[in-house]
Amino acid sequence: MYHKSIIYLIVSSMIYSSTLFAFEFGVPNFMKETKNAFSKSSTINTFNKICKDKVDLSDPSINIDKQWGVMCKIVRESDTCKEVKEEDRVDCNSKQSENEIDFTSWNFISNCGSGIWKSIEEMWDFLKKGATWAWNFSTDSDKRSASLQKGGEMYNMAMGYLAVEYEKERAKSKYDKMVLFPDSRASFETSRKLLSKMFSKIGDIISTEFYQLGCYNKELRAERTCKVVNDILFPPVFAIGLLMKGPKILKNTGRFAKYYSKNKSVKKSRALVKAQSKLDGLSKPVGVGKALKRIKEIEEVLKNGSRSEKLAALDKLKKLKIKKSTLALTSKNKQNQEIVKLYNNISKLIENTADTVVRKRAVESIASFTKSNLKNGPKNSIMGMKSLNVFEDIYLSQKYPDSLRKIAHEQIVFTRDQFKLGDISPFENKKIFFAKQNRAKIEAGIRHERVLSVSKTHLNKVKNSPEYINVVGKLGRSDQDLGYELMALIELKNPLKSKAEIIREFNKKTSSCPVK
Amino acid sequence: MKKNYYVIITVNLFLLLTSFSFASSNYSWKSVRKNKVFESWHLEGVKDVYISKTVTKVKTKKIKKLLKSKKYIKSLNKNKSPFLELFGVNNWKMNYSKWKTKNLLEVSGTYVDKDSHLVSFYEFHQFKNNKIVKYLYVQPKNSNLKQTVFRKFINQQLKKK
Repeated sequence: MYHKSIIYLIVSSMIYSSTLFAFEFGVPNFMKETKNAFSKSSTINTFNKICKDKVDLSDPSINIDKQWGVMCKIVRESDTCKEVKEEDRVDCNSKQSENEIDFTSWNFISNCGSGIWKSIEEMWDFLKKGATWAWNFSTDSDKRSASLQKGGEMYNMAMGYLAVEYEKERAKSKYDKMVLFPDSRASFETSRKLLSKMFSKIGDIISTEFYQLGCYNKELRAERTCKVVNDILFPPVFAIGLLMKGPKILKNTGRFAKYYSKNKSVKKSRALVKAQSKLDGLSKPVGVGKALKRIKEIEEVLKNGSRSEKLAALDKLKKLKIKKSTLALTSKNKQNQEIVKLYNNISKLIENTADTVVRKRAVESIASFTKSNLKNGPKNSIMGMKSLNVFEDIYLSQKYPDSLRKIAHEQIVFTRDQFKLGDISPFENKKIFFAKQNRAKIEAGIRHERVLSVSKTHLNKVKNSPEYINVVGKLGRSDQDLGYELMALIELKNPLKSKAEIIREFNKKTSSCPVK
Repeated sequence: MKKNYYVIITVNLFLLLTSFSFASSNYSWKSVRKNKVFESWHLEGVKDVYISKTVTKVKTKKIKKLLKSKKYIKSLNKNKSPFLELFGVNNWKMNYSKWKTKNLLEVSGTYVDKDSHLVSFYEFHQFKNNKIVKYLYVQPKNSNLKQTVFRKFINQQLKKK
């Protein structure tokens, strides 16, 4: 009896400790996060940079898992990777291990970032600046200058809470010898939300600026990514500058340093806000009256102008920044109301254009205008979705009554554009983004379902049909993913290409990628 | 079989006696950390009960304006909650606030920590010449600890120069 319980105890403690080990070193999460083919430091990301004009990776017919080898070879042989030694390059025969590193994953960053701060004080100084940044950028652009200082004050108020929550977290790992850097770990855990916001943004920047990372093999990629992360996080002032001013700082650090060293706090805030506006491509702020006049002019051009005039007018709208004004849709101020009315008119005008280029430019301009001038701008920027609905109607009633796949594709492309334009907050992590994208796909599917007048019973009938099962099988996608299921349903209406055909087409497309 | 019962009864009695002695003993605060940013204490033997001390330097002129001011309390309430969320402190709510003396403000309320536990907090803001010294006491909401446990300690701290 005793013998049995001792064995049980030993086995259970072994299981427990191995779980703990795995947890601490991030194995389960790490593995979970490897599934995403768009990992920011991945070879796919590099491929996307090289071939984006030739191949659209959001095209549902592309199966990244199956075509990884081709993409990898293109990356390996590309000009982008020519400076990387042959033996250091990504191994295209080992997809699973080569594509697994995502430095935006929490585990990677925390393991890599642990230990870069020599003391708690140093780490907290970084957090203070980070918190100020997060606070600043969740505030409307017009209030940024004031909020920069306020961010610092808020941090002072929050410090006590950070201290007790830090101690609680520290106590958890007190007796755990598996934790390598308990102080850093506790700080990381306490500020997880803040840091994940920062790392997500930094990850975006790194994936754009250091896309060559995908050229390297797994070990070197991890090492180099860590180096980039550490270089960026330390000194903290650089990381914050990067967050506030964007990747340009990487090329222009001298100018940035000036803002921090020579100007006093208020001047510094002003200088940063000014620099930010410049980077946002905004023109000098104008008064409400002047803005009203300009928007009226833009409206006129959009009504009667030629295509090129319309595009130029939309560029003007994009750069328009109204002085000391955060327009609210519900404002009682007459001039504000007039601007909002004009803004709505412009939205309607754009909804009714079937010119894709004009429409896309319009979405971009309106997103930018909304972001810099309207209260809660990015959240309320639903313009794109509206125009898509109308656009869809145009498709349905006039031009493409049968081509449902095109609408679905449009929806996906549109969602991607929205993300690029900042409609989906850059603070949100990529999981949320993908969830949103999936939701959009589902919505697209539901729309098609409505368009097809497919009742739920009929939908189930279709889903259970051997034809549908065959389609899902051919696509090689999980039938749990409703978005893809509905996409497959659409494919039913448009004869589906065979897997071999899809691969052939893909290879043909990628053969024109600029390798040399 | 009877022997086993005796063992169980003895163990239970032992546990009962130790818990009584623990309950009746004086709590002691153990300093767990002191650095340039904060100082913290832990109530020995009790999980998740802490006090932290932070000091913020403020211009003397500004301090004078803040004394007994309702605006200061308002500023604590406004925007604090979303900001604290960045550090895993969710749903921060202030239930009570009062200027105890000309330069001592007491605030209390609740929040939900990152492990989803409801926590009670008490903040003490002491205004000195050019600084605000803040003490924060936290304990799980369902804890049976009496306020004397921390008040005595914090009063001693507040009296220090």
